[in-house]
Amino acid sequence: MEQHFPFLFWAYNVIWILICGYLLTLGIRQRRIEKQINRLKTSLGMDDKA
Amino acid sequence: MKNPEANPILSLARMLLPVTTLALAGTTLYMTFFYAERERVMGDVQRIFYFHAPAGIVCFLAFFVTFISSIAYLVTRRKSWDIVGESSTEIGLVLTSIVLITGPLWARPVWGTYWTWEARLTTTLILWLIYMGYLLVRRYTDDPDQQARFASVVGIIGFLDVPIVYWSVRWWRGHHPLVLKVSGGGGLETPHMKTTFLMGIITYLALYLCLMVYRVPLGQAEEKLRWLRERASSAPRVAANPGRLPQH
Repeated sequence: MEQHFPFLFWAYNVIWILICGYLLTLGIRQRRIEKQINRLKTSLGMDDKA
Repeated sequence: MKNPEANPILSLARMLLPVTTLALAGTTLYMTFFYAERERVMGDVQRIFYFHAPAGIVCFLAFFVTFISSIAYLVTRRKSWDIVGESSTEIGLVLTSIVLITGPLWARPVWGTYWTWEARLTTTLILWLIYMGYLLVRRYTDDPDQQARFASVVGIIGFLDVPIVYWSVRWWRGHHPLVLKVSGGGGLETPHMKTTFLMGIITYLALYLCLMVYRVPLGQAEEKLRWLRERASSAPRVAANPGRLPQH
């Protein structure tokens, strides 16, 4: 176990790193798009019900 | 445009799925390290299988969804199918990346090398490259219909690699272990091992659904933004006729 533990440790952790990284990019993209949508809606004079 | 908060089913799914996925991940973690027995040939490093192979199985499902969505888009030309296909491809690529990274981490102590051009490994890498191509081909044109059309063709043709990946070990007699084999090194030999493996698949399925309920609305928001940009570029006419946002 001890001899192979680093491989097991990194294999397990790489999953969380990839998933959290992907979730982070989704969040960043979502915020950026929402900002742009709100800015465009304001400039076009459209309210949220449009 | 459907707002996720305005759709009660989607809203409930966005609330429940992350909690369910985390609970399943915790259970799988416990089962991987404490419930499943130590494999007799490879030892503890075999436990990597419980989060490596299920990721591979669910990435096949993700690319199957892309395949179906691509056909549906080409038949109906409805943008919502393209959004589902693109979302599923992105998540499938995350899962394939997990497979491609955890596999070599298992191989190093067992085979003595991180990578070898063995049939299963090579075809999986090709699969990853094909679906990267699916996303990249969208950047080659500004026309959204053309983007969706090109990507759909890649989504259909690319899926041909999935059965090749699955059967590659048998066809080319590779030395990648057959995880679902009944006995012998690399197989899931005991009921505890099989249950843990099944739990891994269920966890990745929940993760896939969880990511989809967040990624699909993002695609819809991107489409809404594109529509608003088009309206903004013809602003004088829009002032007279604001129009309605696209529906998916």
